Amino acid sequence: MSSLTDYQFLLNLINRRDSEGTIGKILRQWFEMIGAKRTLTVVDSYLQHFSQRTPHKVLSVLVNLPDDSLRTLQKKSVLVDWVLTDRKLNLHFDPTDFFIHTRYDFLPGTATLRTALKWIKEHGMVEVAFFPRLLFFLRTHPLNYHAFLQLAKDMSDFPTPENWTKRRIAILSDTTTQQLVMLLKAGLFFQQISAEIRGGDFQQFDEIVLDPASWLYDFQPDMIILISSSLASPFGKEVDWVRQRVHFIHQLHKRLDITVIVTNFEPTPESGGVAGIPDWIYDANVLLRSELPEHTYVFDLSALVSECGLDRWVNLNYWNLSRQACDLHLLPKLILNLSAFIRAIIEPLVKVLVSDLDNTLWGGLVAEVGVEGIRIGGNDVGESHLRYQVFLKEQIKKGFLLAVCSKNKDNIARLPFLNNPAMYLALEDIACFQASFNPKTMMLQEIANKLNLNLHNFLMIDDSSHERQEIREYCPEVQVIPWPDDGIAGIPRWLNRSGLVARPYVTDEDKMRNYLYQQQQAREIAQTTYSSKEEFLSSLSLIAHIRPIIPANMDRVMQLIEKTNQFNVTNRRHSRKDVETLLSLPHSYGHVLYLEDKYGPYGLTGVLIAVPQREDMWIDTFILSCRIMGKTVETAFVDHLVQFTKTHGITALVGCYHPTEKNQSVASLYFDLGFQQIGTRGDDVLYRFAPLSTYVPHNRCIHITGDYSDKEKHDGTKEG
Amino acid sequence: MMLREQVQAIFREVMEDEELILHDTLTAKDVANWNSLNHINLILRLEEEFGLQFNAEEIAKLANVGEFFDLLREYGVSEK
Repeated sequence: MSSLTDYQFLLNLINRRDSEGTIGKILRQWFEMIGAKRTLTVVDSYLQHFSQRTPHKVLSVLVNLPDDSLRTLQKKSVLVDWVLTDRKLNLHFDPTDFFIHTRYDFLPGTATLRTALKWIKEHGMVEVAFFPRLLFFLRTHPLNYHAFLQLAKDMSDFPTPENWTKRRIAILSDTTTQQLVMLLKAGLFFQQISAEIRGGDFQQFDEIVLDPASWLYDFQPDMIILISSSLASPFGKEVDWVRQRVHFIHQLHKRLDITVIVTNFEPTPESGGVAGIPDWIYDANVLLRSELPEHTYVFDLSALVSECGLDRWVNLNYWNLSRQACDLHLLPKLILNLSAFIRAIIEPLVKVLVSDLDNTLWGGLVAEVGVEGIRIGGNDVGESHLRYQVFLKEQIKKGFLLAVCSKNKDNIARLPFLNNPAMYLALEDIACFQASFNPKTMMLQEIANKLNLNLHNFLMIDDSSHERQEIREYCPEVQVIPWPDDGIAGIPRWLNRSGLVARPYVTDEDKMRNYLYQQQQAREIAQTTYSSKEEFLSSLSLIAHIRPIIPANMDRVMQLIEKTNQFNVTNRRHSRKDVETLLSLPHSYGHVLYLEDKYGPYGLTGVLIAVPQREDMWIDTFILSCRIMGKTVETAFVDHLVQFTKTHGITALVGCYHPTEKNQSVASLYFDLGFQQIGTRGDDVLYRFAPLSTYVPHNRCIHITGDYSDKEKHDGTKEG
Repeated sequence: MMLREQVQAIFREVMEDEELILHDTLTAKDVANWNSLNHINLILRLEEEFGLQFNAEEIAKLANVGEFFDLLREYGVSEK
């Protein structure tokens, strides 16, 4: 060390990976060894050079400095403030301070986190403004294993907000899952899922499933996670073992028709080098991709292992001793990914990616350097921007909406899309384009209004720390990406690894979604030129194709049943099996609606299910996607149902409205259609129309295709 | 801090027992939270604290607190 200056020594240090905060620990020793003053000079120059570029590394240094040294440095960097506030908060928790504190890109210290969560718990303040921000950080930053364990214990009795998704999850595994079960509950909590989790003893899961008296059937899970480690494979019989596993998954599907998550097979610690990965593991993972039943999703464990590194992933000591298939230090990372995967299967938290333009979508400021001067591709810093654009385009194909939010003149901001041939994204890829000099928080609200989506489904990508702080403070529900150490180049990796852009399955609707929203805006502009709503709707040349529910459209039907909140009259979240049972009843009605107009198709956007009960026909499920609300489609759909009901000799139609926070807009639906209120049942309000011979069709603006007497109706439901 | 205090602090943290006093003949039976899960957590914390990596054989034969200290001494962890 003596041949190096202090500064050079530090330079060498920070070029290493510093996930464990080694630099900080060494600095602390320096304080003791060579005195505070000299060390402080080093930290000072270190701050000047690196606090913008590699804030996370600088932080690991600062957290080890004493208070008074930090105070001498206070004007140098926002990070110093951050560390000082964090310490203060840890001693005397003040929610106001904490609220401001979470503006920054960094996760508060574990002690502060625990205090904050305890404070929320004690005060029952789950609606407090910093809570969404706190959860966002917790679900995107893997904590240290021990810290996570402590937090998970603290949170075991945390009150979950009423409107959160609830799930009962059973874990079957041939490895130890004790730790996983404990941490997963917290991991899912960070994803706003309230989970009840039960794990089986390792090695016996075939018996658990075959025995009708086992805890599994008693527990009644609505989701099963099957974790099968390559380490547990019987030596020499791996191929048969994998086949049994696949067979087992099919058995499981037959017995319990619920969502199943299966981990694929990871390379073992003996793999690698010139031997590569064993054939049986390759083949097993291909088999898993092609031979799985419905609602079974493969969690790509082997990808996670290669991300973390095979040598770090498993510690054979712990496997041999207690069948730990994953080094416990990496367990938080597994939990973070698995929780995000589960979240995405149920309903993703992120639906809209909002990107800044200057120095984010391209390099440079377009207003200063001009359309040709911005950097995209071209073998320099522009390469990262190009890759970022390619990444965004991939996300559109998975069903994300892409919006632009930039402080620029609108016409200048659009120019690169039109006139710079290096641009990969086109204006057609942007579902909503906002460029002005208004505060970004205002622009985000504008985008939310135009897309008819909630701000908590927004993810903001912006290179300016000032903008990020402003959005976190004034739109706390928007999820704002902390800027990675390596800038824009790190964004795609960060997003993929945080699990925020996970999409375990993609429907045809998803692939079109971004473009559907653009057509929508064209319609809205057209609407302003008509004097009445009816005149406008007629001008759209609306066509509704009403078709029976069949296995081919079942995925989309289930998606609508699970996810629609606004136009969902009964709010019944049926399982696929429930729907199939309803459809199998004699004289039942189960149809979907595809809408289109002169601007293009809206896709499958409506579901109506009704079943005969005593003498009447009862509407069980009535759902329209929010995209087609206000188009009077509901009248066309009910007209269709009435016609069907009459031809089956049923003379009365009963509908019930189940009020929720989000479906107020359909509260008067049946009343408007001329139904009589006949009473209530629990929260439900019941309406009846009788006799149906007096029913006058309401639809005036929509042309209908599709014959209700379609004979194919029940054909497919047996196999699905 | 003495080695004994340092190890005791780790035991207290993992077993969630602030009163826990270590002595050489103390075993898992004597401590309420000393289950298999916490046993692994304990060894993991010791490895981290002292920058060590025990092998399976060594871990398997740890029967009481005294043997924890013996093992740490074998690895040259000194009472400073």
